[in-house]
Amino acid sequence: MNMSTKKTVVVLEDDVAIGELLEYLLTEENIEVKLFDRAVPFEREMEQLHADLYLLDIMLPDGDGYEICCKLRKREKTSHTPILLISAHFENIQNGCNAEGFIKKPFHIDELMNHVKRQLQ
Amino acid sequence: MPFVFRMVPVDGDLAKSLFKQNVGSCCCLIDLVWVVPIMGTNDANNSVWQTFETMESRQAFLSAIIESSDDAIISKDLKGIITSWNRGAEGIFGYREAEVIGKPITILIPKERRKEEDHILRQIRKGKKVDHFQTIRVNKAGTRIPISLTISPIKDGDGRIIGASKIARDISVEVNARHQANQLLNELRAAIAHKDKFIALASHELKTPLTSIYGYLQIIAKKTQEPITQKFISKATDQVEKLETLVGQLLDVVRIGADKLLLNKEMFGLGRLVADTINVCTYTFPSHTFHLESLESEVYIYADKQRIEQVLINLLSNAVKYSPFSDMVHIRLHRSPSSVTLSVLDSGIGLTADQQLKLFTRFYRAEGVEKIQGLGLGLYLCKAIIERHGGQIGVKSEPGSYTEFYFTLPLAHVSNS
Repeated sequence: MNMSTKKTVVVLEDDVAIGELLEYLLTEENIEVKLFDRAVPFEREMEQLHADLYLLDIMLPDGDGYEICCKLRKREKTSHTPILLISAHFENIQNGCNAEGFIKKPFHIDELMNHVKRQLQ
Repeated sequence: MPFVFRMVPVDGDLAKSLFKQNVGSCCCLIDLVWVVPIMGTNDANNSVWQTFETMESRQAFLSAIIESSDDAIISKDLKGIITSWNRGAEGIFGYREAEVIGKPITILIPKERRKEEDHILRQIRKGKKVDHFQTIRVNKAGTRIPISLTISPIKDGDGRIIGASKIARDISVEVNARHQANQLLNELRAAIAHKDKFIALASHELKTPLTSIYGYLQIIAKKTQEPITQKFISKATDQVEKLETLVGQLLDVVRIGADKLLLNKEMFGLGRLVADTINVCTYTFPSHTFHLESLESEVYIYADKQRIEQVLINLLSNAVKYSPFSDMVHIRLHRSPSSVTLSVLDSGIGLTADQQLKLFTRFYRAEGVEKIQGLGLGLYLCKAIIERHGGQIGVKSEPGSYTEFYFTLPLAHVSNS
């Protein structure tokens, strides 16, 4: 992966342990991470955020990653930014919001990172 | 002369002939049970009506039957005026005979149902019967009673319609029972929905800590060089994977029950998937050798790859689990013009005919097989997955000798272009 310019991944994950796990894995690959654990603060800052990739958990205590995915798609600025959805209820996801991919929980860290790197290329 | 009554079931033809001999009252023939008088001995069935020497004794007999009925038996003329009223009617509606003779039948009909009477009278005038009609009537105290009504025209000697006979049965008990049954059914449905929702939520909640345990174990495994630590981490990782499978099975059962098992279908080669899965199993189950009898050319199916893999792993691991004294599992692919069959054959403990029947049901565990882990959901899920792909799954076995599981899936239509 070309890492001449540092990439930024915005992670929305309500479970702290999983959030930290993702943060660690991404940081290890020299990726800048912005971590949110709730949908509301994420949406509040959505306009100002710069991201090369979004990693969105679907079931959130105050929102729905799937709906956020649709919102990001509708905004001109983020309409082409890759989005990966993460969920434990993998097969109930419909890809109506055209996410680039899904990651099933629990995940293989190598598979996850391959997904991420492919989207950042 | 005292009567002794006995209920005798009669067949259709006999019933008809007895009915013709009767004066046309339908009160004696209820649900194909004929009331037959027995004069002292038991052998008097044959010439029933001959035992009544006079018309009066016959009338008295019929009246006795009408009076002894718990059903209301009422007659009315063509204007709807009550002309007769039995004791059963008194029991159900609360009016005594003297109170209602000459009164319109509408005193029993709730206001909003008065139109029913117009309809009934129209039918009767046409000579038609109104059969087992469930409705509501009111008694003297004003209480509404659910009843079942049968109304038939009464004809005079010349065949002219002169009124109607009405048999009403109080069906409060049945209606209440039905109401209770419906209520219970609704409660049951709500409880099942509630349980399913709970399992779905619980499995999601269980998967969250599993995800971090699994993730951190993988990170530790990458960080450590020490062989013993590597070994223990690998053992812990295997257990997390087992736990994940169990949680996944619970969720699948709920999905199947609610018919929400979604399939993400794609076109793929089954031969390749089988070979890859066997490869993985070779590492997972080093105790057994897997012998694959493959096809010369690849077979393509349009199916959910992950789900088919799940079925394969289940059948292969069952073959290993249930053949502890053998070390060989045979896998065979067979192609027919429109389908492909995969079979997994072990030379293990086998299955009795009874076990083969129950095998694919939910939570079934083979009896007499101790220390074999699992929830008893594997084959139930396999069956559901294969059937949702339009295929079939089955088993052949001989106790103490072998077990062969097989499934058949339709081939994908590959266009010539």
